[in-house]
Order: sequence, then C-alpha cells, then structure tokens
Amino acid sequence: MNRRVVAWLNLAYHFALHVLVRTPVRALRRGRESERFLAAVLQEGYAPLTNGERDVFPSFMNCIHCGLCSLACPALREAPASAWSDTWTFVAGPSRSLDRALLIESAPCGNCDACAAVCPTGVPIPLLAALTTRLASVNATASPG
Amino acid sequence: MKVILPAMHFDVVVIGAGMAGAAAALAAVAEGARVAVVRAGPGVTGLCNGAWHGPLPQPIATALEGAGLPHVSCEWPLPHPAGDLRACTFAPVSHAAARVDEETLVCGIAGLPGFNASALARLWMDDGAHNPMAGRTDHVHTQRELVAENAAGFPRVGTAARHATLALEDTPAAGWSSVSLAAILDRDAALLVAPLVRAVRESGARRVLLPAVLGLQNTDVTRGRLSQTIDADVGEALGTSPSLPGWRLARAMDNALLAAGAEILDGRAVHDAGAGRKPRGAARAKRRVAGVYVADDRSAGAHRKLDANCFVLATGKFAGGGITATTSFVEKTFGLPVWVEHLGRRFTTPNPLALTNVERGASQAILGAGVRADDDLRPLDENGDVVYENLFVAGSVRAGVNAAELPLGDAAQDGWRAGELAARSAR
Repeated sequence: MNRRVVAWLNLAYHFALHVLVRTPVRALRRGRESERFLAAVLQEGYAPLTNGERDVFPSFMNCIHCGLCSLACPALREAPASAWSDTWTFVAGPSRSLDRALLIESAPCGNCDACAAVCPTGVPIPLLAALTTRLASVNATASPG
Repeated sequence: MKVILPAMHFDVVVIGAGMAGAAAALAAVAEGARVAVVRAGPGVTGLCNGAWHGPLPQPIATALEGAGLPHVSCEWPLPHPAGDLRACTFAPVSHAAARVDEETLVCGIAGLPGFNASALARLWMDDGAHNPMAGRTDHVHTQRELVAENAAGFPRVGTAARHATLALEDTPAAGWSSVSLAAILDRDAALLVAPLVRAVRESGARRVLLPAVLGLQNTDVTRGRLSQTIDADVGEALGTSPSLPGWRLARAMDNALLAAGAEILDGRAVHDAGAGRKPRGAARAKRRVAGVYVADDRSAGAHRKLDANCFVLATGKFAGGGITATTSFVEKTFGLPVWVEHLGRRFTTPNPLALTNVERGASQAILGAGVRADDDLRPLDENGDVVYENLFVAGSVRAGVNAAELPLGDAAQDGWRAGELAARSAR
C-alpha cells in the first residue's frame, strides 16, 4: 500500500516538474535557447535555410554530378585557381559553404542561367548559387572549422 | 499567365540537340529547309568521353572538321583514366594521338583526381604483333563489352611504360577539377610546361600521355605548342566527368549548326495538343503537329510558338528528361506512348521487379524504353497507327534503343535520316 502511495507521489512530482513548471518556463526561455543553438550552429559553419530554400532543396538531389554546369559557367572560367573547390561541380553540397566563400567573391554569378540550361536533370542551379552566396555571407564571420 | 509571343515559322523544327538532334538539323539544312533547333542542354552527348563508336557519316565528319574538332580513325584502343583501354572507331585528334608504349610517359597531375596513371602505365603494348585493333572490321557497341575485352589484358611485354605525377604551381588547396585546370590552361599553358619539361627530361620519354585537360577550346593549338616546347608528342586520355571531350563535342555541333544557318532556341518545347485536334464530325483525318511552344528566357513567363511543316523529336531518354518514369512512363514533349520492349505494350506502372533484369550485369530492358516508330521514323501508338504524320523520332528517345549503349555514330545516322525525311516531307 505504501509503495503505491510513494509511486503516485513520485509521478505527481514529475508531473508538476515537467508539465506544470517546465512548459511555461520553456515558453518564456524560448528565444534565448534558440539564440544559443544558432550561435553554436553558426560557429560550426552551418546556417538555417529559409522556408523557400527548404522547399526547393529536394530538387537539388537530382544532381548526377556530370559537371556540365561547371563547364557552362562563364564566371567560373575566369576565376583564379585558388577559388575552386574540390567537388566535381561547384554546385554539389551547399552545406560546404565555407569552401565556397572565396569562390563566390571571385566568380560572382552573373545570372546568365547557362548552368540551368545545360543541366540534364533540371536542378535549379541559379537558386542553389543564390543559396550558397547567402550561406557564405552568413558564415563570413564564423571561424574556419 | 502564359503570354504568347509572335510565332516564328520554319520548315522543320528539331527538338533536342544531342548528336541525333544536331544531325537531324544538319540533314534538314542540307535538304534546303529552314530549320530551328530547340534545346535545353547537350544531354548524354555532352557526357561522352571522346571516343566515337559506330560509323562517322561524311557530312557529320565535315561539320566537325569545320567546327574545329576533326575526328580521325582510331588504329588502336584509347587510354581511359580508369586505367584501361577503350576501342573505338574514331576520335578527335588529341585523343587519337594517345598511346601507351615503352616510349610513353603517363603523367598524372597532383590534385587532379580520377586519373590512374600507374594502371595506364601497366597497359604497355607492342603495337606490332599485339595490336588488338589489327584486322577489326566490327565496332564494339557496349561499354560492358569493351571493358570485358580489355580486362582480358594485353600481353605485358617488357617493362611497363613510365608514369609520373606533375606538381603544378598554385595547385588549389582543394585540388583541381578538369574544368578548372582546363580553364587555366586556356589562358596560359605555361603552368604545365615547367613540370612537364622536367619530367620528360628525367624519363627520356618521347611521348607524353596527359589527362583530358588541354583547354575547353583550341585544344589542338595548345597541344601543338606544348609538344614543341617539351620536344615530345602529347596525347590526351579519354575524359571522365566533368568531361572536356563531351563539352568540346557539344560545342562543335553547336558551332556546326550555327554555321549551317540553323536557328537555335534555348528552352524546352511543349506541345499544345489542342492545336492539332481534328475537327468534329470530319472524316478520320491524320493528326499533325501544328506547332510547339518554347518558354522564352528573355521575358519571364512568355512562350514563343514555333510553327513548322515537320518536327523531329530527339530529346533523348532519362538523363536529359525526354522520358520520365515516376508513376508511369511519360514522353515529355508530345505525350507519345512509351513502349518497353520485353513487356510488349504501353506501360503505365513501373514495377521494378518486372522492369529490371535480375542479372545485374546484363542489359537492362528499362533502358530500351521509348517511343516506337515505323520505317519512316514516325511515332506509333498501341495499335501500330501513326500518331502524328509530320513528326519524326530519332535517337535514344526511341524504343529498343539503349541510351547507355547507343554509339554516337548510330545516333548521328538515325538523326540524319530523320532530318532528311522531315525536310522532304516539309516541301
């Protein structure tokens, strides 16, 4: 009988703690927690996507790494050797924005859409270039990993 | 809102500018037609490694030569960066000049991945007694057959050829891609000269084999200058993606089309089926394609109509988006019925178990999916009737043609025939 009471009291205590106390407290602290999270994430070289970017992200997965986009881009051709990243195509891997900061600076996208025109699988590369530029600028102040 | 721009009129409109489409356009121009080509990208043609398989129709050979990419016949199999040799019928001069023998130095480049110099060096062959191309009159169709043939090995007589890795100045920390290196070499080939001179002197080689990076254009000029400077013959291996040879071929066909006076429009064509509907109550009239719409990049949302007497569909298969297969097979431009040979009917539900050959190394029937055509290359429906009497299909969009195995030469021949037929019908 006593063990039952103890069990109920234990349950009541945790209910009070997690549901009644922590829920409103978390709501009050919400802003600060997400700030801490973002600060940590940005330092790692990542940045959150906007809703629009997140919506088109799956289409980037159509990339077959053929490299035709990097062949077609007139801006890339003028970029110095040091600006190129190590992927076959400059568009694969938007999460690697840290490598691309220099590439974006020295070979700015001229919005000619030559890349989108040659892509065999219809990846919206200009959108990806815009996304990468934004991520690179966000991480410009982040310390290199 | 779809804004319709003023229509443009042609005799023949070719949809797709891979090898089949480009050949069709050149054939139609040769027959005196006014031709427009609608294209998105170079498709699988732009991904080729430089080796030409199958016949090389004379008009195509002339067009390529005029566009600065002359092809010569291949007397021996060509080195591929994977570390094997690939037999082919023709190749651009810079590749046809590539050999691996006791006088060759195979040069990889530090920071450029995907070039197996040591494996290539072990492929040394004596081109006298053991030339595998000697006496061959057939051409090998499939990549699989080629690799199997070469895996049997050439007799390794004597010592292997030499190989070296060139360390170029200003190699990026992240390494090269073939495109970045080729773009730099286009501007100034001096980057390659010093390490190459050193390597040639140390090895005493009279011939050098490099990866396919000698420029996006003017390859032969760069190669000639380099050859003179280092006092050794220079050859390029076949390309791997991102493929310089594929890019050069696509650009050469583009230039040939422009030189021939064809109009090139960038974009994907869409057919408005309503335009070709037969009038109600009329006798069964043959259906014709009246025109296609092309999204015009210069004015967002605007579509331009292309009117023509005849059309050629050469949009390719899965890689270029000519045919898609999600819940069903769809031919994207005209909605033509798609046939998968071993199933023998129009197929609407892609069941992977039915479509893939259990023996993974064997030919896959799904890669032969496409539009059935009659002897005059007009598309057929399930009953064997012609769908549109002024539409001709060519290249890998056709049923029974395996896009992975279709030789460039066969695509060119097919396209040329479609273009001729279209131009003659358009008169």
